[in-house]
Amino acid sequence: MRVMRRPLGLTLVLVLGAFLAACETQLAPPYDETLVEELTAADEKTLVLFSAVSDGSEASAFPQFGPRYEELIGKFGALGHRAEARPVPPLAQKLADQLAKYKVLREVCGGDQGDPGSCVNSSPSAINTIVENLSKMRQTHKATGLQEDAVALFENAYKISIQQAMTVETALKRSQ
Amino acid sequence: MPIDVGKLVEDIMNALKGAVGDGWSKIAGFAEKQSKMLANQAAMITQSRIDGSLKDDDDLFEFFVDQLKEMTENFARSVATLTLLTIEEAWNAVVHVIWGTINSALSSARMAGIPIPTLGPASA
Repeated sequence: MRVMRRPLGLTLVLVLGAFLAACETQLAPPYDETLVEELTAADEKTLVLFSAVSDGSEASAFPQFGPRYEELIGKFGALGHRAEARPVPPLAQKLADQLAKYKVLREVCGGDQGDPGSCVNSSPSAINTIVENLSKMRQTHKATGLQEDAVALFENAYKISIQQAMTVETALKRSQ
Repeated sequence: MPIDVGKLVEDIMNALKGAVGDGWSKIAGFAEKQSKMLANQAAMITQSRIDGSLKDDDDLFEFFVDQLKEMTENFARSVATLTLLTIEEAWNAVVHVIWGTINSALSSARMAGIPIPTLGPASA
């Protein structure tokens, strides 16, 4: 039986072609599946907490909620660090440095930390806002209790920030 | 095999429409939802300051006002990241079509392909 063989030259061309096709330009950080899964899990727990205090809660009831606040604040803090620590593509960093030359963009992208990279890797800022929000809610609950309208404000603020983080993080999963 | 320029133009336009269309659709949907939530938060803060728990709580009122500014900045940053992703997808879609066509033609002539370009020298 005659065996059909592909010429070595053609094989090399195909292999090289596949390698070259894999070279992609990236302007934003890589997708982090673990980050998305853990944000989703923390989101569920946070919504359960909001549901438990939605009618308001006295300061005397705080001890039963304390560990839940601590777990969530710690979890979101760790996820913020994870999002911050991931590598930003070199071209994205260059873009961030260029953006920092313009005052308005420097203010928006740099924020208080003066890091222009927050426009190419925006999730850490949103997650940090979640940590501040839950920390203030915890402090208020412990000191004076939570009134119903304050809970609604904390919850809406939380939903704004988690939506910012989740939308960007899921979009980082490129379509190809 | 010669390159069919007319078909290549059509393929580029289709790739571009797909990448930009998907990207814009994501950004528009996100922006609409965020705008409603930010507007709602502003209304809730104001109402609570007038006759709710923020009426006599300056500290919490200032916290929510400062936080509203921070969340609006984070919204702009999120839109910036989503826009960069759209540019990235558009660039990669177009270069894949063009360089893919060139490499396909070279490959059929049993010649080595050329590398797909990346944006900017730093990413090369």
